[in-house]
Amino acid sequence: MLAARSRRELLTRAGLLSVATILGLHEQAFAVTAGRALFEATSLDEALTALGARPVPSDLVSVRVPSVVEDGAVVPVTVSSAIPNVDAIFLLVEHNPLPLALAASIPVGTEAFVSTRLKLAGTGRVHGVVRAEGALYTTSMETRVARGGCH
Amino acid sequence: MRIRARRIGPSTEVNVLISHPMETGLGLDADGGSREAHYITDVEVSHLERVVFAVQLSIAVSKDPLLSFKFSGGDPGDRILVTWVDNTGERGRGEATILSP
Repeated sequence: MLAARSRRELLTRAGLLSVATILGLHEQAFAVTAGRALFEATSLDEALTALGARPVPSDLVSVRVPSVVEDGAVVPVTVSSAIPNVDAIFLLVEHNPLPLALAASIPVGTEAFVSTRLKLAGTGRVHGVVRAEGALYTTSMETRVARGGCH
Repeated sequence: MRIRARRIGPSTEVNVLISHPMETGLGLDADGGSREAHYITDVEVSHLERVVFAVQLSIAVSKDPLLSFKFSGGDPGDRILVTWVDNTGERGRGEATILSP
């Protein structure tokens, strides 16, 4: 009986340990990107401030969005940069209720390039921000939205 | 999930398309009731057990998220693994192999 109980305890402990290991690994993998709190900013200014240092405008960052879109629900957005040692890329949408749309961690060996599709609440600027050696660089581009996509 | 990974020049280009409603929680349904937020929060992509791309998403990413990125290296036949988790704790994973140029 004692043996059965300690075996059960052992199994329980092993189970807890593996859950902890999985959670630990998961947190570690995502620790490179910004905390989830960044996504709670409700204005562009607040979101940019939350990134840490104020991003500096740079021609070495490129944001591509169509200049006019019919449907704000599906807007192709690409951000890339020629700045060396980029380790994170952020995409922010000026007039969305929650401006931070995406935060990507760029490990060594991965290019400073992300392409996706975003929802835009209305006409306004899409900002791409890259982080390199602790500094932030940004470019933005305006897009006119016929029908907003935050629904 | 659809994953396409192709070696182009010195890099591998990866395109990931995940079927997901990406519900913002801000809208109303047909009956005027509110809809719960339901969106992917994290996507991670590995090449041969090494993380090559990790991204956090918000409700602003369109329905059926599409993500493209490029990493240096990667040989045709190598395995690419994609995992995601959403705000309700639902998880998904998919695999593909790198195609020749």
